Amino acid sequence: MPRHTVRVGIESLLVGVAALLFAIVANAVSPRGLALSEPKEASAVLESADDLVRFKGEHHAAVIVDAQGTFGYTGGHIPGALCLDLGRVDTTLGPIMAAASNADAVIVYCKSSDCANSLAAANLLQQAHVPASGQILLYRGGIRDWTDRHHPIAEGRAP
Amino acid sequence: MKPGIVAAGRIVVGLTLLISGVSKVLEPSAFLSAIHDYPAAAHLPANALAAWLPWTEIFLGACLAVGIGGRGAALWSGLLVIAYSAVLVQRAVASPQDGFWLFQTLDCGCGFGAVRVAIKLLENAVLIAFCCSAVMATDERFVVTHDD
Repeated sequence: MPRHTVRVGIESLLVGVAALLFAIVANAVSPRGLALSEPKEASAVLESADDLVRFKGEHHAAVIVDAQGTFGYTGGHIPGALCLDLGRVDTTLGPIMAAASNADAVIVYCKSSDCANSLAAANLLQQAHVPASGQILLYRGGIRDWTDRHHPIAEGRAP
Repeated sequence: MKPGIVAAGRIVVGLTLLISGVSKVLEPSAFLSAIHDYPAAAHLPANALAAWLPWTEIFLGACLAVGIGGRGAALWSGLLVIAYSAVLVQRAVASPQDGFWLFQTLDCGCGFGAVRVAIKLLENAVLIAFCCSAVMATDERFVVTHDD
């Protein structure tokens, strides 16, 4: 095997290992570091859009939170839902806290059952004691289930 | 290829990775959210990827920019860009947007905001070319590990 290829191979191995170690350590010590595993399940789950509609009918003060992120939210969200952008928590959490001050429940969703943002958002809300009294529910189907069942969606930045 | 051009290309890739990595490190939750926009994320450990990939980009970018382990860093960087291009194409093809997938505009989550897929793929092709030239570099003036 040509000498150059061998040297590049050895160099790549060393650089690769060093890069991985750096990434592991940096994420661990960074104040903005992410957890490596998905957040734990929320305590209550709404599986489908029908479950959400029924729950909202029984709990008029419930607040719906969209965790798709700003781009996904403006592209389409459940009417009345508020945007919680996990990358802009400092600007998006405040309105949710205000809206949920008298809420008996907060329902969190994102794109679909494959999206972990809603779990991360639910954990974030729990840490922020939102709602002050009440429960946090996870709408597992997400916006994909909502639109598949032909419910209306709202677009843009307004709820 | 002239050593100066190879070095310039290596530095361009390094700076691109540094900018991309730093922007993701500053908003890791936003990057995690962006990862979930890609169909391939359903088969990957998204949290681990969002946690480690930005720092890996910073490390590789720094290596390329200063020329330490440049060939190894170029190899890994090229592989990263190739993999990213593949998932970008997959996402664009699967997107519900109207029009041909190559001309769609997506928020790529790569730290540079919304991009047109065709332009992004062209940029990636240039980066891959720079990486290939850096991997094959043998001139002693611009590599730290010398070929005897």
